[in-house]
Amino acid sequence: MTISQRLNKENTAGYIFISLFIIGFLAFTIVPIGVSFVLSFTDYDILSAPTFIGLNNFKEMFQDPTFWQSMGVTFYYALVSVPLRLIFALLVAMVLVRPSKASGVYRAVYYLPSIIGSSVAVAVLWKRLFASDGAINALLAMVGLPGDTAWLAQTNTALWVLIILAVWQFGSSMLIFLSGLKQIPVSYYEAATIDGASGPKKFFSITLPMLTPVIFFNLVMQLINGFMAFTQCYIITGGKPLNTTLFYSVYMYQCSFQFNRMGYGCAMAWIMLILVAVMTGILFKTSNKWVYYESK
Amino acid sequence: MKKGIVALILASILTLSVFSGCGNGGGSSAGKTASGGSSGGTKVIRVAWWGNQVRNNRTAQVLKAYSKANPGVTFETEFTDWSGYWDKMATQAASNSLPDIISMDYQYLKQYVVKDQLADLTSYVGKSLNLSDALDATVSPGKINGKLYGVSLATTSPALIYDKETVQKAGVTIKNGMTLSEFLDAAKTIKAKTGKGADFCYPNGEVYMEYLVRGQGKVLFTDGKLGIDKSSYVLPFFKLFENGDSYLAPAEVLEASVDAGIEQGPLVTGKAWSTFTTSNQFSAFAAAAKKSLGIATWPVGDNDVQKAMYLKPSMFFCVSNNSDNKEECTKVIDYFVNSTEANDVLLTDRGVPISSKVQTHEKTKVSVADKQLFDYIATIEKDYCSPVNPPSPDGMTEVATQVHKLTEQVLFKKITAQQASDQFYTQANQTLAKAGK
Amino acid sequence: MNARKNRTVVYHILVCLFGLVMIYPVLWMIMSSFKNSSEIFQNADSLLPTSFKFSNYTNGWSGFGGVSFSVFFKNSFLICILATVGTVISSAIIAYGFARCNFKFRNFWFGCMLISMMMPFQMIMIPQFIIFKKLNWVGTFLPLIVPYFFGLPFGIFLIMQFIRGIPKELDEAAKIDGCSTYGIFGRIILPLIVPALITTAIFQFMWRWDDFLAALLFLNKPSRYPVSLALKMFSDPSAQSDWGAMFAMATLSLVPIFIIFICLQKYLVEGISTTGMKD
Repeated sequence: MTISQRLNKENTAGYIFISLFIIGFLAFTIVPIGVSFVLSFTDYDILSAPTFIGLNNFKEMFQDPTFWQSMGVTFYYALVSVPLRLIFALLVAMVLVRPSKASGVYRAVYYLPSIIGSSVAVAVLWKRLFASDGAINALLAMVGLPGDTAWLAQTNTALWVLIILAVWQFGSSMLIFLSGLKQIPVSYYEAATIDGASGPKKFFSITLPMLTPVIFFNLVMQLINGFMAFTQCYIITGGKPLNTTLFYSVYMYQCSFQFNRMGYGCAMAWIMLILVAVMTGILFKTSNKWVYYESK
Repeated sequence: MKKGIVALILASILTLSVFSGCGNGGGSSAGKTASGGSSGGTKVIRVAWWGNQVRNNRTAQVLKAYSKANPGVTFETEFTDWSGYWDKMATQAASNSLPDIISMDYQYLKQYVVKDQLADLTSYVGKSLNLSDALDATVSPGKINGKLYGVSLATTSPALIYDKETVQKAGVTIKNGMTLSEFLDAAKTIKAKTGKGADFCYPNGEVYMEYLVRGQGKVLFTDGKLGIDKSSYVLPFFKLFENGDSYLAPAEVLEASVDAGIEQGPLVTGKAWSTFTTSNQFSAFAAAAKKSLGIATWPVGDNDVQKAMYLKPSMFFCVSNNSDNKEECTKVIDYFVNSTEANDVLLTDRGVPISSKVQTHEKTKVSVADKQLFDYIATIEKDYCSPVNPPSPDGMTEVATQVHKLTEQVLFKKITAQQASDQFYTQANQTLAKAGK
Repeated sequence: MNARKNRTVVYHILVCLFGLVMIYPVLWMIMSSFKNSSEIFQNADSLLPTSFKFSNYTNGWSGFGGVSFSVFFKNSFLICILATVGTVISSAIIAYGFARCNFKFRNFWFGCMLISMMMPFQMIMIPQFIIFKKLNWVGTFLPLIVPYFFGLPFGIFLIMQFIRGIPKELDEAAKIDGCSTYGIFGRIILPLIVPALITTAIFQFMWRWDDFLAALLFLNKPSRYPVSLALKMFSDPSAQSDWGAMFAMATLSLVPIFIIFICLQKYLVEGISTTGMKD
C-alpha cells in the first residue's frame, strides 16, 4: 500500500466518522453563530429590523465602564475558581478512587452538590449561609473570629461567595478525574512498587503524566465554562453590590434582553468568544509539551 | 486558528440567507401552523401569561368555562414564569409568531406597540368589548396616541405596606397623604424605639423617583429625554439614601431585598417595618407575613403642586397583530373584564377588577386583606390620585438599572446625593436619547 | 496490621465528615419540602421542620392549569433518555474520527467544534428558533432531541481524550489480523472507552434534565413541559410563591438523576483497570 493510498483511506474514513458532526454543525449551529456575528455590527432591538451601524457597538464598548468592570470580574472569577476547583476535584478523586464497600455511596455524596446545580434551592441556601446572621458567621464566632461580616453586601467578599460555590460544585471534574484514574493500568503501579518507588514518586511519575490528557480536557472545559459562567451570578447576586459580582455573560444578557440591545450583546459575545478562543488556542499549542498520550 | 477565521466569513455569508428569510417567510406561513388558524370551523386561540400556580389554575379554569359557553372556540395556553415570559415573547416577536392573546405589563406595552406587534382594539370597543363599567383612569393607560392596545384586567396603585405592631409600639401613626418630612420623622422615632428601619423602595428606586417628580408637576421619563430641565428635581430622592442611618434599614438588608421576592423580603422576615410596593401585592404580603399589616399612600414631597398618587393597570391583555381571530380575542377579554362568573374564579389574583359592577359583586366574597385592598383603591380613587404618566419610553429598563446603581453608590457612601443627581441627569438623558432614535 | 485498620477507620471518618458538609444543602432542601411555606425562610437555619407536612407534595404534584407533575416527569424522561442516547452514540463515533483518523482539515473542524461551545445559547437562541420554526418543529420535542444526534462537543472531546490514551499498538495488531478501521472502532476501542461513555451519559442526562431555557422557547403547550420548566412556575415576583411545593417537586426531581448516577457509577469503577490491558 502506498502512502497516498493510505492517507486517502484515512481521509474518507475520517470524514465518514465525523460526518454526523458536520451535518449537525451546518444545520443548527453555523447559521445562528453567523447571524450573531452580523448582528454585532447592527443596532437591533429584537422587535424591529436591525440597522447597520458599522463598528459603533465595539467603539461604545471600550468606553462603557460596566463592560470593563464585568470583564474584570469574569477574569478574576475564572482564573481563581478554575484552578481551585480542579485541584480540589483531583484531590477528592484520588481519595475516592480507593476501592471500598462504601465508595459508591461516597462518590454519590460528593457528586450531589453538582446535581442540584443551579436550582433555586442553592440560591436561597447560599444567601442564607452567607447572611450576616447566617451559619458561616455563627461558625466563625464559635472559633472566636469576628462573626458579623455581611459577605454578600461587601464589595471585597461578595465575589468569593460565588467562587466558593463554584469550588463546592466540583463533581463533574471529579468524575472525569475518577474515570481517568481508572484508566491507568494497575500493572504500572505494580512495576513501580517492585522497583521500590514511594507514594509521592508514584504520583509524580505515573499518575500525573498518565492523567495529563484528562487534566488537559478538564482545564479546557472549565476555562471555557468559567469565562461563560452565568447562573451563579444570575441566581444569587445579580451583580450586587456595586457590580462587583457582575459576570460578563450576565451583563451581556441584560443588554440583549432587558435593555433590548441585541446588537450590542452580540458584539460583546464575539469579544468574549475571541478571547476564550485565543486562550484555548494557546492551551492547545502548549499541550504538545506537557500532555502525554499513550498513542503517540 | 487561521482556519477559524475562514469559517467565520463563511458563516456570515450564510447569515444573509437567513435574514432575507426571516423577514418575509417567517410570519405568514409558519405563524399560521403554530396558531392552528381557523381550520374546520373551530377557532384555536393561543393565550400566554406569566404567573404562579394559583394564577395558572384560575386562568385556565376561566378559559375552559369560556370554551364551554362558546362551542367552536378552544384555547392553547402558554404560561411561564415572569422572567422566562419576556425572553419567550421577544423570541416569538422576532419570528412573528406571538400568541393571539398576550399578557402585557405597563412597562413593556409601548415598546410592543411602537414595533407594530399589537392590534388596535379601538374599533371593537362598545361591540365585542364592553368597557363602559370601567373608570376612565383604568382604561386610558392602555391607549397610545388615542388608540386602545391593551385592556387592563385589574387596577393597582403605589402602596406603602407596614408592620402595624411595630408602628404602634413606637407610638406613631402612619396614614394616607403623609409628606416626606412627616414620614421621615415617624421613621426616625420607629428606628430609635424599635431598632427597625424603613425599606425605602430601594430595588425599584426609579418608580419612587418618578413619583416624587410627579408631585412637582413634571413627567420624569419621556420619549428621547428626561422631562425635567435640571437635576434638582431628583435630588430629594437620592437624599433619602444619603446619611439615612437614623431611619433606613441597614445597607446589607436593603441590598438583600433586591430580587428577594415577597417571602424573603425584609418586611416579611422582620428586618424592616415598611416596604414600598404596589397594592396588588398586599394580600400576598399579608399571607406571607402572618402579622397584621397596614396599607397607606407613599409619602409625597413637602411642597407638592400636584397629586402624586395614581391608579395603574396591573396587567393587560393585548391581541397580537398576527392573530387571525382578533374579534374572538376581544370577546375573551370582555369575558375576563365583565363576567362575574369569571371573576368569581379569578378573584383578586391580578388586583382589583376594573369593572365597577364586578367590584361590587366581588367585595362580598373576598378575604379580610382583600377588603382592605378594595377600600384602599376606593380611597385613592376618591381623594388622592391624578392620571398616571404615559407608558415608559424606550430605554427605560436601562435607565432603571442606572438609577439603582447610583442609589447603591449613595447608600454605600461612594458618591453624594448631589453627584448622583447630576450623574443621573446626564446618563438618563443619554440613554433615552439613544433608545428614542 | 492494626495500623492499617486504624488508617482505614480514620479515612472513613474523614470522608464521611466532609461528605456531610457537601450534602448539607441537599438535606436542607429535602427538609424544607416538609415545612410550611412561611417556615422555610423564617426558620431557615434549622434543618428539621417543626412538624412534617406532606401537603407540599400533594399540592405540588397537582401542577398547573390541570397538568400534573406526572405529565412533566414523563416529558422529561422522554426528552432526556432520547437526547442522551443520541449524544453518546454520535459523540463516540465522531470522537473516534477525530482521535484516530488523519484527515484533511481535521484541525479546522475540531476548531469549529470548540468555537460552537464558546457562544452562549442566549445569543443564538433567536436565529435557532427561526430555523426550528422553518422546519415546523416548534411546539414539538424535536428541537430538544434531534440536535444531540449530531454529537455534543463536550462528549466528543472527552471521549477523544480517552481514545488518545489507548496505545495505538492495539489498533495496529487488529489491523494485521484483518480488521478494518470501522472494525477496530467497534471491537477494540468501544469496549475500552465505556467509562468515558458513561461519564458523558451521566452529564448529558443531568444537563438535559436541568435545562429549561430551550424548553421554554421551543415548547408551547404546558402539557409538553419538562419538570425543569414546571419548577420555575411556583414562584412569581409579584404574587405569593408556593415555596414549599416548589421544594417538594425539586426534591422529587433529584431522585431520577440520583438513581441514574448510582446505577451508572458502578460501570465507572469497572473500567479498564479491571477488564485488564494485557501489557
